[in-house]
Amino acid sequence: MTKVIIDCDPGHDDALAILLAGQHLDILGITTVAGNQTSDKVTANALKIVELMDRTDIPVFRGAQIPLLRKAIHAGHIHGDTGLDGPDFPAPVKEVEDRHAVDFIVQTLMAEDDVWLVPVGPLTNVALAIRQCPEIVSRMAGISLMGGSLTTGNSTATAEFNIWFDAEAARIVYDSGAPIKMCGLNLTQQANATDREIERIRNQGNRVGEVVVQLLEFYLDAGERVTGVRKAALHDPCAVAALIQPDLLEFEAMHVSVETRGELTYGMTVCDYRHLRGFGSSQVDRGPLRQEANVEVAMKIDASGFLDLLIDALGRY
Amino acid sequence: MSEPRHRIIYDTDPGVDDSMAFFLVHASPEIELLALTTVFGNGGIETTTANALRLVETAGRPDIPVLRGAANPLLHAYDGRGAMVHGSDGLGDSHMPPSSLLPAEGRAAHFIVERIMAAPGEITLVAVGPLTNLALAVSLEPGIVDAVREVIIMGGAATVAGNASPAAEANIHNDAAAARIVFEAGWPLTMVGLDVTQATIMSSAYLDDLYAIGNPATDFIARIVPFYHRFHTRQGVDGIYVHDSSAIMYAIDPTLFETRSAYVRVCLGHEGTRGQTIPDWRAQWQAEPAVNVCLGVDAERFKAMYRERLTNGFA
Repeated sequence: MTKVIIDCDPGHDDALAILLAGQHLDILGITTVAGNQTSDKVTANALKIVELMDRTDIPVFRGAQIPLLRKAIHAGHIHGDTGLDGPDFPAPVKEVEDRHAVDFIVQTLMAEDDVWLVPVGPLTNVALAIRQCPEIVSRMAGISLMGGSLTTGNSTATAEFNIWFDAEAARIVYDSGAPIKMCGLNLTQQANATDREIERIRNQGNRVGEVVVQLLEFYLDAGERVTGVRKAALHDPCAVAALIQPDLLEFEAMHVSVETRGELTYGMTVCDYRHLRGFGSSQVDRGPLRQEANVEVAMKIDASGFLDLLIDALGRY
Repeated sequence: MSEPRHRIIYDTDPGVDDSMAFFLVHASPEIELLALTTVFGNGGIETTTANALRLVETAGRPDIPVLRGAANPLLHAYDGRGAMVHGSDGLGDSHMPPSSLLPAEGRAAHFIVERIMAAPGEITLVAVGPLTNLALAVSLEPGIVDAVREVIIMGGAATVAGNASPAAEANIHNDAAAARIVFEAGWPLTMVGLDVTQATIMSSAYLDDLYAIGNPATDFIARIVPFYHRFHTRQGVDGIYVHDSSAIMYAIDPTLFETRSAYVRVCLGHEGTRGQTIPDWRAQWQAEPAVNVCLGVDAERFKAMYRERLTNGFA
């Protein structure tokens, strides 16, 4: 089984990502990062999720509590006051590990081969790990992340939340030379949950599924308030699916970096896909500013295949 | 003296003046040195770490751990410009043999967090290179802001021009984003910048007297300083500026310095202002936190103390 560290800020779709990974991947640890909610809340939520899936053997590590340079602005309007509103979770009995998330990431990558990082929150922990121990870049199997966008943003016109929350950290990660698979908004908005998916999960009739139904009902309500449409993009599980069943997704290699100085574009993932629009190929006709591809950007996802994979995994608990 | 005034972690990028400051630490009973943490700056991280090991070995203190720190600034790559001032080996092209010591296990930022959190209110950080390790440490564990006793940095320029650029002092210029984090963290921070470090000049005659002391520390200094001295001569300075030792001297005896408190904005800008440190003396930005900025120094008493320490500390 593919070994992963899931770095997350749960978060409704984070919870789904962990549940999906739990059936198909070897989760070495879950590290938390402030993002959708505060560090205290998302760390408690990670503990709730491993208890829900009856996998308290998975260690949970607390990571960065604040972005590198900016003030934290959380996403309570989407994920609620707890960050995981909807179901009534019991207060977690399991405790967070003593070690710092970044220390766990560094030590694990240095000690074990072929480990994937799956960051589905802001990239603060990954950036701190890379800057403290750059050797991890060549040790890791790669990074499969949810963040950014080839096209439009959500937090701003051009920036997706995870990147916008800590754009400097994202800049460090994208520029690090690590092999990156990126599931951005352009991709995740093709992978939506609707009431139909909620019904399918409910019909599987298991306890975990029932909790997920309550999560998704809250998440769809929030999505409907924000977009006016009763559907919600299942962002984070896409980055997990990319490792479980890569043929569900189509990728294009291109250069991507992160804007940290723009007046209108702070946190934008600037994707150079000119070669896909007829402005020369990625191999020839390079302009002076054309840089080597550093990211596999997910362009398309087989949405029904993805939903089948996710719902099947939820039914296995 | 019974109790040391400070227990310090010395975050450093040796570096010629870093080395001179290290020997001042070693010769000063007011300071208990817990560890050296290294950072790129005056040389690459391999160079500065190798030099830190040379320093503890030369001082006969192989028990002091050396922790390897950041190899690059937060948001860009190290530009390698330290060699121009400090030589290709960071020690004035003295090309000394490598130390037989090895760095301790672990990395600087993590070590800083662990030590400070384990001894709340006790440890002082003295940082004389780019502030990358301190920024990483406070990002890893914001609790060190309350747990550290004091933070003293050599860097910045409040009322004088920069040296790495017209606007910026070299340590801040080397990692402005890290400096922004450190200046805004809200811990008790003293900035020992060019305002005072360029006001203390060790003249050629002073250096000759220092070299003549003839102990292991001054012999080491005599080998590494001439390259650094020639760089200053080319800049029109008779002697050398005393940068990093000023931060150590502040820890030893703050009465040598005049200070003033203000919020200091570290510029991240790309139009030539990267790394500029702007003090808001009139509180017009109404921003916090305030930083303790050194503006004046009793250079004669400073230099007499330095020479006295280097004479007697290795007797």
